[in-house]
Amino acid sequence: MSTIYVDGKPLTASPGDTILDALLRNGISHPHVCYQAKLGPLQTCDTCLVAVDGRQVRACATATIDGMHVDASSAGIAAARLDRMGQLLLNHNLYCTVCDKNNGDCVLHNTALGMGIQRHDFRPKPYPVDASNPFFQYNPNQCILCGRCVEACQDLVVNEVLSIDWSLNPPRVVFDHGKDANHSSCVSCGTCSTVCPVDALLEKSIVGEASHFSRISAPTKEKLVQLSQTLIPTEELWAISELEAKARQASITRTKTVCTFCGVGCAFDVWTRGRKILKVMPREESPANGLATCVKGKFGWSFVNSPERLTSPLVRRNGTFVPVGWDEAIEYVAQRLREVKERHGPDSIGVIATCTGTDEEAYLTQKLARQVIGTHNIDNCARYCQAPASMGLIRTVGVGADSGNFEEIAASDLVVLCGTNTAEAHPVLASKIKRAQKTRGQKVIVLDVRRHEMAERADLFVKTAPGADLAIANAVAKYVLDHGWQDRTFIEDRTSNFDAYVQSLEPFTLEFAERVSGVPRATLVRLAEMVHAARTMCILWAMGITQHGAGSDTCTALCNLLLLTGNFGKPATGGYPLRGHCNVQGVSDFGALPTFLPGYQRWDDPEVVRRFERGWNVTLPKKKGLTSTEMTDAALDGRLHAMYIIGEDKLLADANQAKVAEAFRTLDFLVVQELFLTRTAEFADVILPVAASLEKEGTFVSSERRLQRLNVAMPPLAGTKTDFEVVQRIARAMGADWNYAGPREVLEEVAALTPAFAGATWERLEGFRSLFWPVAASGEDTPYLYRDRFAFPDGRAHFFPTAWTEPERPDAEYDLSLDNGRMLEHFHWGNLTALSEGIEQKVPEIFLEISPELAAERGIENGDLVRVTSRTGSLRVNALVTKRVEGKTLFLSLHDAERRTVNQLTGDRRDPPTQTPAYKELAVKIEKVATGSGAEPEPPLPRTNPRFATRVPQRGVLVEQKWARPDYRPLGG
Amino acid sequence: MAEPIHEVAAPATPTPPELLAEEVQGSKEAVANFLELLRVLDEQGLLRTMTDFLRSNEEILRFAADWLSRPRNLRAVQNLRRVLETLDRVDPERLDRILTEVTEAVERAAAVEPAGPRLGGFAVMRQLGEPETNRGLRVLLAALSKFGTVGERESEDGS
Repeated sequence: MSTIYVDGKPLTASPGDTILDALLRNGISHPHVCYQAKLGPLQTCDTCLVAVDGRQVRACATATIDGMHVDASSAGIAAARLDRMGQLLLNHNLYCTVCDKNNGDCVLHNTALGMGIQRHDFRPKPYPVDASNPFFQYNPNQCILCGRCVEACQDLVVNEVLSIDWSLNPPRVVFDHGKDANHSSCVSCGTCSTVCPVDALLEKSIVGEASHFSRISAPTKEKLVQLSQTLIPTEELWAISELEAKARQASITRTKTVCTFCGVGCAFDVWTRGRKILKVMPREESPANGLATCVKGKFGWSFVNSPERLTSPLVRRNGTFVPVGWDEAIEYVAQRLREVKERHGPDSIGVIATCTGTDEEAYLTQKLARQVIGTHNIDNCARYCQAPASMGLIRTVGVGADSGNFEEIAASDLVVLCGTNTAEAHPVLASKIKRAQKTRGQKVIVLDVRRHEMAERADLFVKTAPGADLAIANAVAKYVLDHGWQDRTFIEDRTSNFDAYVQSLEPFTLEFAERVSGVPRATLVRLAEMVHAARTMCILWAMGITQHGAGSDTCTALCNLLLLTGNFGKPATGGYPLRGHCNVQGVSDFGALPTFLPGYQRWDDPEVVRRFERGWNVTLPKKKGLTSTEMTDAALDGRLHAMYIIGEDKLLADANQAKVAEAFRTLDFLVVQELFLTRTAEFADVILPVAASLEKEGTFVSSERRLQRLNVAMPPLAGTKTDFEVVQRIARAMGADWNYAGPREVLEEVAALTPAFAGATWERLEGFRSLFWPVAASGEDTPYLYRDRFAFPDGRAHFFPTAWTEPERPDAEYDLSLDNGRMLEHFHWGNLTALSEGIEQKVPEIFLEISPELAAERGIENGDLVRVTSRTGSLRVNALVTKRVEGKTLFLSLHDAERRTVNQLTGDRRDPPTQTPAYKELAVKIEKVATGSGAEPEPPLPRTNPRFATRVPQRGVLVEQKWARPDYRPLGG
Repeated sequence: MAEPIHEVAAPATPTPPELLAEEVQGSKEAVANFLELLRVLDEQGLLRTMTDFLRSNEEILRFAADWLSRPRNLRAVQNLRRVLETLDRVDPERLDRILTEVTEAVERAAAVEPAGPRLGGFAVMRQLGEPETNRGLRVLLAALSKFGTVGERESEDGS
């Protein structure tokens, strides 16, 4: 700590503090506009000037020195700041009363008001508003050129689209050096509009909605603004705008919630008026994401108010769905489930918990299955994605979850991304990696079958064959061992079964790995060398690893490699399966799994069983439960007679769609709980319409084991109820004595029964606070696991040997490999995101990615209609020729709910330990069905999609170019 | 064998909006007009403005009171009140006559060419002799005489 003297008064400064940091931390208000804590000093606005030793300096960028004397308030320095603010205001018309940004958080308004600005000259710029992007607009006339948007775009989220062209007169923000926003490489993450301190970059959803006067037509508004600025003194104008802004607050509600579009767990305020969503606003204190969002989280919420939502329970009668009241529907469901249970036993019923519901809803769902129905047949969509990851982690380190948090990833020397298209599936996490790579030289290795954005950015891109990652991981491990690069101390002190592991690596020579993966030996060596060179390493993986016939073993091999190199149990290390759904982690954590009660307590552990039997006043079932995929088999062979599926479109999500449809047809009774009439719901006997996440409260657990609360932003749509209420009502109708007032009571029950959540209380999760489980009763949480011991009785990690399993490969007839996965813009089948007009503009339909060489070989051009056929089924889709795929690999995205879903093609191959389908081992053949329409071959992806543009990276806002302009006056002495 | 169903049947029982529609059938024209008024108010943003100002009544009042309580604003309001009090004692017809004449005088003054020939002492005397100028002078002198008593009254009041 050091002491500085501000206007003669001593002030404590922390190491590394700038003068502005020290002032703000000590509660001293000091003007600043371009500075934002998450972005750092940009030095473009000069409104924070202070004097040190008689010399003007920017407080935001001047480090404190012990004993420093700072003049912050003398008349001279105050006048200098006013002068600089005047320069800034030349770029911005202060029409705050009619401005949709003036909601109490306009940085420029608040700063100018605080500085007592009484005079305001404005110099309009000769540039039109760019409203081409469907989600936000850029108004150069109001842009103060602070560069916050540029810094955020370039170095925070690292999408590298924006810059300020300082050579223009006057300068302005440009997209891809001068395109319109909609044709640029902008991925519409919206972070620029989040950080913009004025109304220059503004979400379209709030335009005309915040100010009471913003619906006045533009010409009238302009005249009124001119008139009021002429007639009314500035001080009175400030007062009027303050008054009007206060009135706005009466009808704008800001509610903290958690995003539902992936497992990153972005938290933000959602601004609403009634049911209207005005905008999504992440905050500095948003724990996982800070100021960042992706296009879905920021702009993808139209579905909440879609007229397509179900608003009445529906019962199948005479070949149609008939709306009925809630009482009738609940009683009918309870009666039919009771009948099936009495006739065929409790294990003839299967229950699926929703991964987009809350933890508390998941807990109630599994409790309904176990306590009320009496079966362990409870599962969730983790079965389709990360169950093999949990298996790999449980085998080796003991806990089936991310071993650390996203900050550990950002802090690591080396990040290895295996089978994860992170920039599209987990974009905000990808930004952290891109930022670490760009700003501090973190190394990134990508193993993937496809050249996606992270592959383009990687220091080493390893293009693999599908299903070959186990061979690569083990070959690298063997190479490390052969060179004596293993962490001997760690292995000796903290692991077991090392010798068996070493022995298991014998077959995994570089030659073998090269043969099965297609990766050149030299690349494998380079990979091993990079692993060896890194002091800390994190391995991240997703469906490209897990959705294979050897998914569990591959995850295990990656964990073994981390153990071999000592990369568990310390900061900036660990294994990270990236969860796809917002709460797939939490739903598993809270017990919606056939073999685990809440907190991963085994279903057959006598002590655990005793505790839950006491807590629930019931005798728990003794038979092992079925996984979701096994439920399909059981329905077909007559063991399963009823299913209760909550928030999962199983028909589209499970492999081999025709088989799943057949399973549904054989059921005696199917209840589906949903927002929309999904393809699965179409098979139901009863459909129960439920609330969206914005309409309910509870907690989620994100991919990094982070517990967060979400709150009610708007009441459930008329006619719908929360999953919480529906499950409780069914339980009561089936005779259970449940009387939970809300999720808080459920969380308390979980905490009492589950050591991992002992200290997880409602209060500790208030606002933007969060906790990493396990949480001790004291409230101490666990940012990273295994610091002191691994989760085995002996406290040691366990090397788990793995062997090679040959994946399904193309053959003479089915000669191509079909990969599948997500795109940035959409979520799953598009049930939700396809209801966003803007997203539909960017990606209106799915398409088949085909490599230029294969397209040439088969005579296929952009837009041609192609039939894709596997051993299971076929579909027709338009082709897009792209270098993202190579050779005989094709890619089809998931986002179609009708006749082009990839699971029309997938088969029955599964990962044996977890029964997760091998979605990504799929041999297909293709044939051209029709030529694309139009004279020129046009891709099925609009030209306004960012994939057609090229990013324009630079470091920050390049303020030096501003300072070099002839119209810039250097700071005074 | 449950085959998929793609459509939902129309509800058998009236929904709450339908019940409401039935209730207002008797005065549907008035309701329609009222709804039209609401629609226009909403389109113009006035409905929200009114609602918001009503909702935040307390806060706005507090803000307005704080703002008006500043000495500068207080003085302005007090002076405005005095002006209004004074105005309500003046006969509108007489004020109207005076204002009309002042307007005409201003217009005439504006018509005078400032760069015209120099006005000498005799010319001034001649001008004073004209009935219109003379009448104007009498009005001005009467007013000046009245202003002169202001200082006396302030001394008598001890102010």
